[in-house]
Amino acid sequence: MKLQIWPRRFGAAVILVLVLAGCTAPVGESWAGISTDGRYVYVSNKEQVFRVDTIGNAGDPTHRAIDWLSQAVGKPHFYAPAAVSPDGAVYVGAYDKKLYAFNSDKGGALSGWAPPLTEDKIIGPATVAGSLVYVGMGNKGIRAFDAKSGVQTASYAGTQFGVWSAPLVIGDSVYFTSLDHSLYALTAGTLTYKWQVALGDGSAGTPIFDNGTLFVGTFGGKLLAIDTTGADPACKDHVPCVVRSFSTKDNAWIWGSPQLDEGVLYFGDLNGAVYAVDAKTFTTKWTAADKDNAGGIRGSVAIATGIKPLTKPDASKVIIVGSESKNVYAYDARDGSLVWKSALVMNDKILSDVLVVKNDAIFTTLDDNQIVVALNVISGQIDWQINLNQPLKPLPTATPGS
Amino acid sequence: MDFLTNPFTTALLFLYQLLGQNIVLTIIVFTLLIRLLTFPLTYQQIKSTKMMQAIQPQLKEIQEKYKGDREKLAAAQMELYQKNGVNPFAGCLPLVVQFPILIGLYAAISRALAATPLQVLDLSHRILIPGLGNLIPLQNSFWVWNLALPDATFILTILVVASSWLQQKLLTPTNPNADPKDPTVAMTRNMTVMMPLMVGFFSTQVPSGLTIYWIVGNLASILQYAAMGRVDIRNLFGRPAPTPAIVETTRRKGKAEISGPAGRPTVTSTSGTSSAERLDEGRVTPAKAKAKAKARAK
Repeated sequence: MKLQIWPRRFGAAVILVLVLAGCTAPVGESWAGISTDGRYVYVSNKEQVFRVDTIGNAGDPTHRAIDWLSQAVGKPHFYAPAAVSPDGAVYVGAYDKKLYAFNSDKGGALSGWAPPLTEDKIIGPATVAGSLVYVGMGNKGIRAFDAKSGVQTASYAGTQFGVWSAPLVIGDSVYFTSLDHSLYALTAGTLTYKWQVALGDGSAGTPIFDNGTLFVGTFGGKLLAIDTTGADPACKDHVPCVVRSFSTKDNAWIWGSPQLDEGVLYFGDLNGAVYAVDAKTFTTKWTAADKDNAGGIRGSVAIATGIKPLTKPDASKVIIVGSESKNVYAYDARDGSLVWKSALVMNDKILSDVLVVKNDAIFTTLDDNQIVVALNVISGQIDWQINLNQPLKPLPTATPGS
Repeated sequence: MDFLTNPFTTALLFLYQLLGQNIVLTIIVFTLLIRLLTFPLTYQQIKSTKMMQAIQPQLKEIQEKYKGDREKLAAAQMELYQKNGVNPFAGCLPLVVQFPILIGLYAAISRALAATPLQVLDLSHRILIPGLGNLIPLQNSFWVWNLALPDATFILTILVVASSWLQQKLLTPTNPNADPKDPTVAMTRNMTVMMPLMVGFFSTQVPSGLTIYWIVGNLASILQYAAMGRVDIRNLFGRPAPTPAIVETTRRKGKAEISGPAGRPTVTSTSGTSSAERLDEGRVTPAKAKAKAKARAK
């Protein structure tokens, strides 16, 4: 009789294993990466990279077509935003440890390119500079490849953790942040070490450069200004250093890159706040948040200028952010007041950067049925969207809300 | 489950900071701490199971007696439970409470080992103490393993299978008088093999940090049961302890008394010896055991 208790226990153990498996089901890997060359939008999503022409048919302006779609063999897992080269190539790193190159006009593999196999997954976006493609590694360091053949020309493995930011090439230097709490400067081309600055926290955002200063956000909720010349009095022995620091409320993470416009840095944090900070003094110009719909702002914000929003025609410059709350917001760049909130709530979270192409704020969502969405920056209503489950077929837009 | 996972994840990160950012040590200490905290529940559960086991022979008798009459069977069972002060659900309740804690612990370890952007983003929302965010990402490398990925070396898989098997063997009571053809007996025997294999397979699919948690959890279970005298090393060698015979419980001072000396069940056998004595017989010296074996052979 004793024995009858044990099968029940085994049954409970089996259920426990299954529940544990269910409760800790994979969160997923990433969100669809998005980038633009000014007209076309390139999207990396799971096994596919595709291009959308942002210019619609004059006869049917609410439709957009997937221009080309390249599907890789196996499960490469594309998530990094594509790096678009003016030479007609698009480079996308993948979780299968390879760096892929596509023909930007027709899609398909770039002729002459053999996807180089690296030692770890590629999470961050690549950067094309001259004849080289730079890309960070998921485990550590960055590598440089010949942009035509894919042959590796240089590598640097001196970071302790992965590099999720895009390498930023300025002059003869390559700058990038690492999850190991540092920002690195290497010599472009050879990838030889120049210097590094401790950030205090991990960083996945690509730094932006302005007049000798790098601006970058961290997982510790800090926006940092780094003097790359070391000339600032705050830097000892002319060694580059952090010269200014700004903390978000409750040290909420800053993941996306800040955007600089007319001396003001705009960025969002994972608690859902949007900030406008003076780049020279790091004083707050304004902050804004939607208190009713909590949701972090993971991606970089977009700046739309020279527009006349319907709800606030005098707000000629707006800051547009996508939120985990599935909403998109446009704030007046002058004072942070809300200009519009997207007329419709998206199907799923918005985690990608927001890009502004002509009169549209374009981003990706986590839902394949609404993988790319373009909102009109003037009205906040959906201009067009792409449903990936009906590939290569243009789709009608959603009915604009009130 | 966020109400459990988030505090657990935060506690795990806090411990990680406290233990010099050593993730393996953190998983071990965290698992042991949680086991320690839930020990009163485990103790209650074991105690209750023990009491239920003690009245099993009587329960079986009742079941035989009232085979065709459900109502009478239920009434007789209730009477037996009341007579012995046994709550048939008392063994389940601690399990029900422990279950979400275990899931929370498991989920916390799983979430903390974030390795992809979505996982890191998810983790960022689970940290309840803002300053701990600067620990992300955790140092996932340990010896030959990336703890955020399944074990490619199969060393941990072998260890988890071995420790699960050991746990099953040591903690599962066996009945020497049981009929090997009895489907329940066969099922128990199969499960002793199947469960470790299942856990082993599971370990090849999840981050190896979780496999470490599983190994530590198995060893902690063995220790907990050993501390309560519930581990029977003879199970490893296929020499099960004798079980108490049937029986009549004694009532003292109007309250059911099942516990005998040293916390063992005291039940009076039909042969006149108490089952506590019989259990004592079951814990005899090797010499006694040999003599018993000889007698059995005869």
